[in-house]
Amino acid sequence: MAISPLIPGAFRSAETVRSLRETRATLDDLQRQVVTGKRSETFGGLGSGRITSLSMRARLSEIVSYRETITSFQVRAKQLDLGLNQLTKIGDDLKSAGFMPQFDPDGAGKTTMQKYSRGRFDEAVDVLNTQINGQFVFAGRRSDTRPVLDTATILEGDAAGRAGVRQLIAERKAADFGSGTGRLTLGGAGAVATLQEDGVHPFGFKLTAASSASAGIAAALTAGPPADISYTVTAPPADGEEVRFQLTLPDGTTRSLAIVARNAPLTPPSSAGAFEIGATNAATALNLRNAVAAAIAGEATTALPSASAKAAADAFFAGSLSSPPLRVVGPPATATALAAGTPANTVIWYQGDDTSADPRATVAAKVDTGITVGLGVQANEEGIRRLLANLSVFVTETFASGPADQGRYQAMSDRIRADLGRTSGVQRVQDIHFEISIAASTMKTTDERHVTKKALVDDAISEVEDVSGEEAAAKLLSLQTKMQASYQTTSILSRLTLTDYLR
Amino acid sequence: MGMTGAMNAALSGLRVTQAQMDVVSSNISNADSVGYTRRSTSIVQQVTGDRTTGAIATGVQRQLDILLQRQLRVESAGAAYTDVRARYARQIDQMFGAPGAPGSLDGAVNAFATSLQTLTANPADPTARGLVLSQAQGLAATLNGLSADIQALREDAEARIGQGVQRVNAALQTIAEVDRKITSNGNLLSSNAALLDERDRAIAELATLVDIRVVNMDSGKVNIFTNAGLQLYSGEPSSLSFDERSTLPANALFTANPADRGVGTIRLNGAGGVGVDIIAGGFFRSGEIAAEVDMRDNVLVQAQAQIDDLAAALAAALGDRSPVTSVTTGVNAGFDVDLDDPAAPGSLAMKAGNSLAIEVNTPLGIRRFQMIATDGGAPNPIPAEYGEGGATIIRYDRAGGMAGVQAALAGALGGGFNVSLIGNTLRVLDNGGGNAVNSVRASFSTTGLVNQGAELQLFVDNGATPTTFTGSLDSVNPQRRGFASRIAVNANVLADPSTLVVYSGAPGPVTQAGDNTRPKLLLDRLTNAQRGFSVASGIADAATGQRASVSEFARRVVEFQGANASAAINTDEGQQLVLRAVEARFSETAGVSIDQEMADLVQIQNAYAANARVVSAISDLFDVLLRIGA
Repeated sequence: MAISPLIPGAFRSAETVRSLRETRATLDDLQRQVVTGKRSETFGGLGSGRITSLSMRARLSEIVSYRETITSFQVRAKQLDLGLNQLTKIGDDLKSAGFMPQFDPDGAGKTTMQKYSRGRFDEAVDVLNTQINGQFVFAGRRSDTRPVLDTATILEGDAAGRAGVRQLIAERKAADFGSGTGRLTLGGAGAVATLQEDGVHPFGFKLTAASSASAGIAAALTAGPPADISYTVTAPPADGEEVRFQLTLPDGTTRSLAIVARNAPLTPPSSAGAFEIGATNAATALNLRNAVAAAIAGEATTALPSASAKAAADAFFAGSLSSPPLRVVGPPATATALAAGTPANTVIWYQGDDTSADPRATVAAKVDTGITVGLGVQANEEGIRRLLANLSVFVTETFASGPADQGRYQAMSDRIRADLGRTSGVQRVQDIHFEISIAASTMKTTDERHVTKKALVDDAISEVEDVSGEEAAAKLLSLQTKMQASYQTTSILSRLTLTDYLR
Repeated sequence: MGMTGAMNAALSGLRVTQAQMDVVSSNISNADSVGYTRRSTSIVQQVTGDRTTGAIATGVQRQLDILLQRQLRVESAGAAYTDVRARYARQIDQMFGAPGAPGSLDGAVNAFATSLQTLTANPADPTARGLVLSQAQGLAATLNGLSADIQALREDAEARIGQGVQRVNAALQTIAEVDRKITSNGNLLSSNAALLDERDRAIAELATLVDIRVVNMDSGKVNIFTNAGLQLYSGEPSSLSFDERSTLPANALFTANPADRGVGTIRLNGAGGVGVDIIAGGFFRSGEIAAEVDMRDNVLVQAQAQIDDLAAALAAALGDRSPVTSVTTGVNAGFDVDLDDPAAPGSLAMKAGNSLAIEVNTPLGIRRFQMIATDGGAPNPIPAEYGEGGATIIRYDRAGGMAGVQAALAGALGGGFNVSLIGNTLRVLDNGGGNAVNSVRASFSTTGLVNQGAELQLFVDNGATPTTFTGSLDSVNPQRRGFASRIAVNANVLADPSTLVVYSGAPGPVTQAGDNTRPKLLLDRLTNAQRGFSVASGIADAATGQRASVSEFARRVVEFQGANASAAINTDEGQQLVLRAVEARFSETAGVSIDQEMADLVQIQNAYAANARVVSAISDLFDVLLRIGA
């Protein structure tokens, strides 16, 4: 409204018209308020409520974005929940697989449970390759890459000659088995029986303890490496006295073997668990030597293969792009070292993120000012890795019918059950699941808080920006009445002029 | 007195009523004319010798209160000033959008922050990345739009100044013409009333444009001065000239120096001083033109500075590194600053316009220093308005390299502090004695998209050639000026949205797609990290060195302009009220009231009838006399 030039004579009527016009503008504004429910169309019109409006709107947008984050994270949490549930179930099934009473290897050397578990392996890999909106949820931050290769490649390797877990297990088995004694040299002469590691290397049995319950047999352990054990017979042991030694297997488990002295005659004079007390110390020692050899031969075909397989599978699944798995170097039977494979010669089963110390932090977002939830999971976390290692051991082994292989099958099943049943000092799939559940419940309570806060903020905004319909309508009504009165008065007064009364 | 005398007296009465009728009819017909003041006839007795021989109309007087007229002129200048201010304030207020509207500035900032938050949760999601880019573009477009609106308003102001100058010239011309007529008419009062009205009308027009003081001269002429003392008129028409510019970019500013001036200025040509620069001299203090000038050169320039500051903060907050780490050696504590440029190892990371802000505590109180780098072209010394509030500015020529930074800082901080350069690292330590280094903040522009930290140069200066925004002061126009009109999303990021996440690459490992380090940093820099803002923005807190996050600053800008708008509108409402009160009082005497005129008319009719009756009576008497003789 520009300054209009003054017309002194018409000032009064112009004033009346102007004030009518202004009232009319107020009326229009009130009408706008009723229609839009908004106090003002600009920040200037909000008055002192402007600051509230600005800061509350910022707060509102923050809350809304937190809630959006929570919504998208809840989808992820639900997916993870499903996936981890399934992995736990697969683990449980695997644990009980060995309990199946029948040992029924088919022509290809696979029991029913092994064939069933092969399917579960596929299932596990499928779970680990879960996607949400094209993002792999078990890949940590490398969410654009399928984290786990397919089962066949993992187990059998690929056409490019990369070795799969089966080949690594075979290599490791051969390296551990050596010439049948688990890389031990058995010997001794006269009154002495010895066991000796055949070199400094990570393979085969490791001698970690030796004892004798007999006063007539002295046990000595040289820690090495290479370690050796010698039993020296100085006097005939009594019947029932035993010598013991402990073998540490490639997967870190131990076997304690006892060989009991028996009075003659014992048939045969030496077996895996007993030896005949001979006429001379040298004869006793000979029987002991033979008994040790039998015991070692037994272990090398039952406990050792599954331990080797487990060790190889552990190594395979510990491998990642940044540190490929350790493999046996050179001809396995005489190998003396493990060395990292290369991505060119070994299958790297996990292609995801492997650089973070805390997998949970790989997918993390703030859901409130001070609350960050992490929903990152990596398929190569210990719990999942261990499940896959045990699965791969279980499905790659082959068996022939017969008590010997049944023992090996049993040894393997026991080992798997024990490994999956470990609770302390190791991470289990359930532990990951637990952490995800905690994050999910944190999000749930945070979201509930956001809902409350949003309502408060909405209220605060509404208080300054909105106008109550009743209030505006009441104002409108009273203003309308006033205007009607004004119009009427104006019309009456404008007709009231002396001119009309002068005749 | 004889009958002839009576006859003459009656006839003079008839003449007087005739004159009164003229005035009344003129009053009635001009009741709605602009600037028409009510007139009345003054009647005096006609004295011949020692006797009254009749009545005579001595002249037509304007019913006018000179004091009120003067006040009216003052108030109309004030009202015109506040009116213009309020008009612009409303427009600026509307520019910032409705509360909660998608196009509003704070809405755009909030939406951008929300999209970044979404990206931190789903860094690998192409949709989330796309959303960040589109919101960033939206924010840039909002700033561009605001800048364009502000400059359009400035151009509008420029054009209105031109129109105002033409109107001033027309009014001065009218005044001069009327003055000439008044003097040539001599003492013909009745026609003078019309001429005086005409002149007052022109003066009233002039008074809305410029704040003036009118001095009436004995000759009947007027002298007109502005309140600041510049004579606009003294009998001779002087004229104003205005070299109007058709386009006003943000860097077109007013300076007294014609060579640097990007906008038009008003000059007075003619009597009283030839070629005086009225705007530079500040000769117009109130009135429409002064308001338009104030808008063009101050209010809108400040609004532009605010959004420029916001744009600059946005670009720098997301794109500038601050490689500062705290360090303690023995009892002394302080900070290390890595001065090495990751893009060009061995050279100084500080680009022209980049800054290094240091706050120290001395026994005498807190002191702030801000080192601003230049390639030599920045003004020396750098004006305080380019720095953060409350800081002593150290102008630093980058030619001095890293060693020069150390020397300059050591010199500025003085003996209480220990500034050293270890390799490429600047170390600032306190030296005991009650001194402490409170904070060191660096702002070093990144130049590429990867391998320079998690910062991302998301916004660039999209001028003639797109460049990094470093805040350089080296050219005539600081880079910050008008940056809001040029800010754009980095084309390289638009071409490859993965750069929103990928901050490292060959020869090192490539950032993984789901790594939210960079989005998290961007969000933090936008909504959380505190920054200093330049003094030029005029936002109160900036002057005290108080700091705010970028989004907070955006809200303060909106709040500032909103408060300005409501203040300007309130002031204007008050001023209009004052003006109307004066107008009302002025109109009471000067306005034509039809009722009054009608009443006067009745009186005049009666007087005429009475006088006519006298004439008729005398005529009868003469008849009687004549019959006597017959």
